[in-house]
Order: sequence, then C-alpha cells, then structure tokens
Amino acid sequence: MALYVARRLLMLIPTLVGMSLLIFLMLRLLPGDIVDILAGPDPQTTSAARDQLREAMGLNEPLPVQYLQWLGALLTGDPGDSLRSGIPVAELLANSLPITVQLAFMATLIATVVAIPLGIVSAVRRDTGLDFLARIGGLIGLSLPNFWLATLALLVTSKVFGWVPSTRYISPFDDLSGNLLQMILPATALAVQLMAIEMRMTRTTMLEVLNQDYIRTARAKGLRNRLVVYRHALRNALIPVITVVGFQLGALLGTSAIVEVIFGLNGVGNTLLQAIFNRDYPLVQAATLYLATIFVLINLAVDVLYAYLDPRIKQA
Amino acid sequence: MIEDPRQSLLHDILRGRVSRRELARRAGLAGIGGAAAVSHGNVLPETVIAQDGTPAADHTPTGAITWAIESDPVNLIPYGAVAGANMWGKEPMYDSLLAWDTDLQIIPALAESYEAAADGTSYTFQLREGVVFHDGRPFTSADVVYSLELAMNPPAPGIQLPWFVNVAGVEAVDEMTVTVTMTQEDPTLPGVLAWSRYSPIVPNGIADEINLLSEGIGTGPFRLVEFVPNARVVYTAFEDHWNPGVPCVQDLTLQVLPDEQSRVAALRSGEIDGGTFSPDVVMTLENDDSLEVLSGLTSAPRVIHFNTVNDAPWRDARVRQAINMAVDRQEIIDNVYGGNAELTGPVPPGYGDYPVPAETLADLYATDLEQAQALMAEAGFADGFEVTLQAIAAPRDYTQIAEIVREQLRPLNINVTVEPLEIGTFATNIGEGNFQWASTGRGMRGDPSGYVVDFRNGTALNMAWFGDGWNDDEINQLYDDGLTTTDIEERVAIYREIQQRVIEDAANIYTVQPYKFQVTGSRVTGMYVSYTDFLPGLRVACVTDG
Repeated sequence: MALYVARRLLMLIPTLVGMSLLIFLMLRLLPGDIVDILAGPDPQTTSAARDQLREAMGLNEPLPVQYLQWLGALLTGDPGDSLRSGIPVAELLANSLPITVQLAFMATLIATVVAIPLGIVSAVRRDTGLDFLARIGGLIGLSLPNFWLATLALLVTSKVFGWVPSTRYISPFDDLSGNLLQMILPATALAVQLMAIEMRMTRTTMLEVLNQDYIRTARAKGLRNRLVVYRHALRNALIPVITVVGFQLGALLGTSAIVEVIFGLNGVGNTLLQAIFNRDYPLVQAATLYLATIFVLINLAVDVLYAYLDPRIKQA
Repeated sequence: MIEDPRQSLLHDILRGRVSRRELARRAGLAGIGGAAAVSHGNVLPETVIAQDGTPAADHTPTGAITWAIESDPVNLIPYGAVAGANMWGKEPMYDSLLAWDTDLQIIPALAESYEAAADGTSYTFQLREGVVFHDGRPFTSADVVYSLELAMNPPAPGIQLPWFVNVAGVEAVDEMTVTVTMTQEDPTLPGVLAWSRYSPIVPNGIADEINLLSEGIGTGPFRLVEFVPNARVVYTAFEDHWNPGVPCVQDLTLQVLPDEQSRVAALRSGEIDGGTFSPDVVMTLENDDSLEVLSGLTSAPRVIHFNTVNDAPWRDARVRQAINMAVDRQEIIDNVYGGNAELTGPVPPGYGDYPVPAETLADLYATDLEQAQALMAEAGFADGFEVTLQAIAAPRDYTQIAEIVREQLRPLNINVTVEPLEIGTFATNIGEGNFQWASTGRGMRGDPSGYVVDFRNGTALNMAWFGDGWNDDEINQLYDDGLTTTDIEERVAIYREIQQRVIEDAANIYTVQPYKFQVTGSRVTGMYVSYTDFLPGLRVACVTDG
C-alpha cells in the first residue's frame, strides 16, 4: 500500500510539470496581454509607452526564458508577486484558499449526507411513491444551475429576512457560528447539483448490486434485509459513488468561482477569474497549479479509499 | 428635503412620461449637459469649497458607509492606472492640486490659486498652508515636485499617459510655491490636474518607504486602513484634512461586488449602503421607499470606429455619410438604454460648453434612408459590402448597439457581422488598429482636446485607425489652434467646429451617452453621480443615523 501511494506521489511530478507548461502556454496564447488590459479599451497611450511597460515587467523576454525563470522561482518555493497588485501570490492564495476549500468540503458534506441515504432508500423501495419523489427531486436538482440558485437564495433571504450573508469572510476559528451562517447558503447552492448526481448514482449502483447473485445468496441463507443492504450491497455500491464524489470535490474547487462571485466571497475561484481577466500571469499560473495539485491529491485519496473498500485493487 | 430636479426627471423618465424635447429642456435645468464654462487661467478665490452640500465646517465625522464597487481595484497605484476601479479604490485618500466641482468648474484643492504666465508656457501654483499628510508630515512644494515627476514617468505597473507630454520641468520656487514650465503654450494642464486621476499628491520619497500598490499616504479625507484585493478597501476619516467638515462619515468601505443581483440583495438587506445599477434593475428598485435613486451623465460616449488604414469602401466619405444617415440613434436610446441616454458627438453632453448642442446633433443625426441609398449608389456601392464589427462583449450594451446598427444597415445592403470580444482581445485590437469597425466607448478627459486628439493627423492612434485613408487639414489646424489658445470662448468655438466637421464627414459614428444610475439606502444623504465616473460624492455623503 505504501509503495502504491509513493508511486502515485512520484507520478505527481511529471503531471505538474506538464500542467505548468500547459498553463503557461495557454495564458500566453490568449489574445491581449496584461499591458493591453492595463491600457484599456479606451486607449490613450502610445505603443511605445506600452512596450516600455512590457519591458519593465519582464514580458519582452522570449517565452522559454520566461517559463524557465518562473519554474526556477517556483522550485525555490517562490511563485512570485502579482503583476498588478504587487502582493506576493502566496499571500493572495493563502487568503483565498481557505474560503474555497471550506465551501467545497461543506457542499460535498451537505450533498453526501442527504444523497446517499436517499439513494439507498430509493433503490430499496423501488417504484414506490418515495422513490418517485426522490427521482423527480434528483432531476430537478440536476437541472438547476448553481448560479441561478445562488442568486435566488440571495434575493429571497434579502426580501424575506432583510438579511444576506456577510461578504467579509469570517474565519471559523474566530467565530464558528458566524462562519457557518455565512457559508451555509453558498455551500447549499453548490451542493444541490452534486446531491442530485450522488443520489441518482447511489440509486443506480445500488439497484445493480441488489440484483447480483451474491445478494441472492445472502438472502437465501436467511440474512436480515438490513444486513444484506448495508453490509453486502452498500459497500460495493459505494465505489462508483466515491469516484464521483472525489471528482466533484476536486471540480468544486474550480467551479465554485461563480457562486463565490455572487456571494462576494474572495475565494480562489473568484481570485483566479479576476486574475485571468487581468492577465495577471504569476497569479493565474500559481492558482491553477495549486488547484491542479489539490485535484490530483484528491484523486489519489479516492484511489486509496478504493483499495480500502475493494480488496481486489489492493492486491493488484 | 429639497427635490433634486435630476431625480424627479429620472422618475418621469422611468415612467415613460417625458418626451425628448421635454427631456432636453429639463436636463438643461437640472444641470445635465448644462452650460458650465471651465474657468481657466484665473486666480481662484480662496473661499470656494469642494462640492455642493459640503458638510458644515465644524462637523465631526460619524457613522459608516459601505459602498459596492462592481470591479476590483486590483491595486491602488497613484500613477499611470487607467482602470476606473483603481480610481474608485484610491480616490478617498488622495488630493490633487486642483479639483472639479459638480459642474466641472476648476476649484482649488492643494493649490490655493494658480496663475498662467502671459505667454502660456508656465504655471505657478500657490500651495495651501497648513496641510498635513496622513502620517503627519507637512505638505510642501517638494512633495508636489516629487509627485508630478512620478506622474510623468509612472513606475510599473503604471503606464505612461500623454497628458504631461508638454511639461518641461517642475520646480519648487519656495516652500509653498511651485512652477511648472511647459515646452510650449499648453492650456490643458489645469484640467488634467483637476481631473486628479493621474496627479495625486504623495509625500516626497514615499515610493521608497511603502509599497504604493497596496498602501498609500496622501492628504485626502480618508486614511487607508486595509486593502484586500478582490474583496474590499477600508478607510477611516482623516481628522486633520485641510477641508474642514470633510469627510462626513467616520468609516468608509468599498466592497467589491461584481454581480448586480448580489448588489440588489445586499442593498435591500442593508449589507451595503449604495452602488451602481443598470436602468433595468433601477426600475425594480425605485418603488422601494427605503431606497434613493440617483442619476446623472458620466463621460462615456459610445462610438463606432471605422478603420481606414487599409483600402475599404468606407474610405469614401459618401459611404460613411450614408451609414450615418441610416443609423437611427433614437432606436438605440430606446431599445438599449430604455430611454436613459442622450445623443452625443465626440465631446459628450455635460462637458461644459464644449459639446455640440443637442438640437444641432439632432439635425446632424437625422435619418434619411433614401438619401443614404443614393449616396451608396453614387459611391459605387449600391450592392453594399461585407464588414466585421467588433464589439466589447461585457458590458453588453456595446454589442447591443452593434446589433441594432447591423439591422439598420441592411437597407444599404451592408452585411455586418457582429463579433463580440472579451475585453483583453478588444483592447489589443483597438490599440493596434486591428479591426474593420469597432463598437466601443470613450472615457473621461481632463481637457476637451483629449476627445478629438485622434482626428489630428500624425498622432499615435490616428495612425493606427485612419492611416492615410482619412485626413482633414482643417481639423489639424483647428486642433493645433485649440492647444495654443487660452481664451475659453475661442476654445469652445474651435472644439465645436472640429466636432461638427467630424460628424459631417462621419469620420466615426458617434451614437449616444447613457445615464448612470446609483441607488443608496435612504440613510445616505449628499451622494451624487459624478460626471467623472469617480466617487467624489463619498467625501461629502453623510448618514442620518450616524
């Protein structure tokens, strides 16, 4: 097992180098560099002035040189300073990452706590009214875009309660109840779609497993229904669900951007989005690389969990 | 409360009760686009105080305002930043030598008075006594010299702007007197300084002491407490500000909230005290008794640029004139802005006496399809042509204007393809002249010459946009005259003449200038929509329950 994890961790290195090159190149391929953005769509500057600024920012160097400079600095642990705010990228990310991580984990938790039991019940009581309701609910949840839900939630709470969650992030270590109150709406808005996906996934795989021979055997030897469902069926049914949850958790770190923007939360998705608009190269590069690393690590954790759930993988 | 004619006008506009003629009349009464000569070259009276509704001199700042801004200031650099949000973020802590009042009259700020030399090649500023910076340092001529030198050559990520090109040198005559020498006669300097965007005064040597991107020390009414990029800028009142009674509130927070519906929710729940909103949203907010709707023009003329660098049908003046006749601006006003916009020429309405008067514009913009078709035929383009019209994708009005124009040009057989572009791509293309037609907007300028400089042959953007495909020697001469004349009336005549020529020749298609709407909670008083598109109102805005 340790060897397996070590091998996977080693594979992170080429993955990240590849990612860094891709991110670097993709940013440079975008039309319009940071100087064009700074000059704005109502140009008042001369092209000489723009070139002068490019030189001051080190953007006139050939791309391979710029890439190697960045990579070299990164290896010494310095992702550089934001080109536009001058603030160290590490500091900007340290401020914004906790918000997004909390959002993603809270959303996943909310979704999972509701979806998995609902999926099980829906499968076990197939074609009953409850199953029907759950499936309709799932379909609705799947169809609702999270930005729409987020906006609606904001407008409704402001109208009904005259209250909206604070746009200033409250750290859970300073004020836990304040933090939860602030995060519950955005996290729920993010959770709904995931909830629907997990519920449908659990239901489907559960139904599949319940039709397997070994379940029939378990029933035949007279095990109680509860035991059959939870010990024999659920454990096997959960494997694909966990893949989805892991994948979605990683994806949420990037896709929470729009909900962050709507709730005015300065998360990493929101930061990244603004940085892309601003062509703030060091910030975009570092932020995407961080997200990619976390994504890869989450996938690794999912695979380890697999091995735990399915001994066949451990042996392979 | 005294009823503001602008507000009652807005209410009527929103309810569709105002005709165009009535609008023009009442806009004049309300001071929108009204006559306001920019005073120039005068020694200014000391008694002038900053803005209308300035709080009483013995006022002690109380209460707090949280104002939503729709984009991130990104940094607070004093020099060379073009983005409006940068100005919103840094404005509360800085003053310039001069300022504008709400009618764009130049008023004193850190300079108590100034005098232009008789030949117009230098300006002497008498500085205000007893002014201190936020860190307690006294303000002297050395600070002005240092600040203006930074303004001329802004450190990265500041970008050099052409407003100070004629400045030969800045010199401290004594502790409280500064002389700015020009390489040639130049009437634009006071306006540029009053604009204040590129000329905040900082303490001598400050760039070596603090990081001007995220910190700042000025003489402005607020001291910077905290700047969190993409989140907020927090200020507290500066007790020793030179203008007694300013600011009115103790605490000011600028909260970044890009999503308009979030701003609505935050405003309704009191999380923010005000912000900028689109006309559509304003209509849903105006019935709420706990909110106040403010409106006003800001300098933001919308324009469709022609690129005549390469051979193209629109190098022929008749083709451009035909297009001008086919474009119905009223349809743009009604359909894109819900009636909340004015016709505009190169200098937008509201910029003192310089814009072409509304009635003249209405004549110049009269639509005549038959004549337009005839002109196209005369030019040999009866069968039209294909063209790509690039447009800024967000905010969406630039693209909406482009789409309306596309439909309006169909009768001329001009087949327009509208290409909405992300701002970065658009900015590159417009800077390099890499477009056929482009739907964009221009911003504020410190001097009327800034609105027409691109029509002067040989200037940087003129070469990128017009090349040798368009040139008007009369305009070149007028432009040069405008920069060597200090007499206000003469300058007004010159810039009106330039604009008239630009419009008649249809060098570009200027369309409209929209109104800007800001909505505040009713506890906020004294806020106003500034023509500059900055937020100077926050210096004098008060809260009733403070």
